[in-house]
Amino acid sequence: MPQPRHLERDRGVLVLVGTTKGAFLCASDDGRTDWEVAGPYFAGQEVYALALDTRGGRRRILAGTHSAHWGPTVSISDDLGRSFSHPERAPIRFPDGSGLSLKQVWQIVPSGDGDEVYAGVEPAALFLSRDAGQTWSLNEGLFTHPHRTEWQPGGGGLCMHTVLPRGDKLYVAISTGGVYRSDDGGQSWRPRNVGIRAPFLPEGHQYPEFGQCVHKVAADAADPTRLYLQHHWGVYRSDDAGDSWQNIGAGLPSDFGFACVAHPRDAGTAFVLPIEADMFRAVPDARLRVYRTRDAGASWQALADGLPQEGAYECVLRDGMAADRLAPAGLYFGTRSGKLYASNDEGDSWRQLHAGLPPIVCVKTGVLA
Amino acid sequence: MLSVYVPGPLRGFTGGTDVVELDTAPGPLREVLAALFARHPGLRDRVLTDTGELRRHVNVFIGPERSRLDSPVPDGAEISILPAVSGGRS
Repeated sequence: MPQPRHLERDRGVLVLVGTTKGAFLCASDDGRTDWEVAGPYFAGQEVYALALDTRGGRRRILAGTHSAHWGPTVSISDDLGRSFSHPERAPIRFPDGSGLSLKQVWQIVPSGDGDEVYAGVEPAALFLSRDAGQTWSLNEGLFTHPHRTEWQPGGGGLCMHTVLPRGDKLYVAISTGGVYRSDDGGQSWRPRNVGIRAPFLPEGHQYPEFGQCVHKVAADAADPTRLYLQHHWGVYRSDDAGDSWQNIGAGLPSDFGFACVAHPRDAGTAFVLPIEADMFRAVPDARLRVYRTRDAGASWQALADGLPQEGAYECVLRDGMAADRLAPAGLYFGTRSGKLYASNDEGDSWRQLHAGLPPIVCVKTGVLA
Repeated sequence: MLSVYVPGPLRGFTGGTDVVELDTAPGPLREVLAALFARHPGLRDRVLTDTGELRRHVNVFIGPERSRLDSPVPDGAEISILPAVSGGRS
């Protein structure tokens, strides 16, 4: 197995990249023009979930890994990847008697200012750690929800791919289950899918209470009740914390896609990366373009400077794009063909950071003080 | 006495040991593995799923025979835990 190359830089912007054959770390200063790439970590393993936890002076990387032979687990590094934990017992496990085995960790999200971290997993379930990712417990409220046994797997499996803590509300999204929201700290959950059309259901039945194939949800940074959502056909916005959704996909070359990212500060600003169709998962016209709205979806601007505009049969997956919190915001995405791109000006221009990584399934960012 | 061969990627959970000797009575493979996991707990979740089945891409041999959890293990058997060729990523 290859030994990873480690980062020399220990401050500045960190981009965490998960692939089907390991994880990579990219680091730069605040200018984000010169990049260092480290890895591969977990060589040969799928890494669908990564997070950087800098709360309370931590520099903790959490990784949800999956070995095709030896199964899934969660590993932690407090030294920027030089060493990772290898817990004897898998830290995320379904309860004995549940009849379920963990297949994959899809999402790891630090929540609040303390030690809480959420994990969304496959088969779809939510886990909570209160010790910054070392031990985990199942969220029983969602696990015992009567809808759970009716959720159906999408192409990626029956995964909980989005966990969004937002003030006193907690959102999760499941393919295919849809969006669920808790207003009581995760004790009880309600589906929040009104207005989201499921075109894969028969006419007259395309607006179910749940069962939508939500691909990703992002929260507007400035408006606490506004959300953006990329569906399996359809880009949507909610202005009432998910109680209702309206289609904002007009103006996009396709409203199919996976990735959906909100600006870290600016109200009404979000990014999507349209894919031509579910039957042809490549960017429209073989032109690699990110689309940005600054008016909450009323209009969209194509961002293509520095991106290939001919013969680019690329696809970017649901967790394959992320924004940093610097000003101007940096934006990053990775493709199924292993190309990693970065913008240090909110998408106006792009540069390629790497052309030959394994298929990219996860891109996350953070800032090391 | 039984012996269990542990593959390289899992030896971090056996202190580097490649063959674990078990003074365990003959019985079904499931029980022999339980004795192995009692000695080296880190092996359990790598070999079995949460529900106690063999992982899809892990093979366990008794001598030359690829075996199931209910396969009988005779006294003196040499057991091998091996990654299956079907498990790699391309």
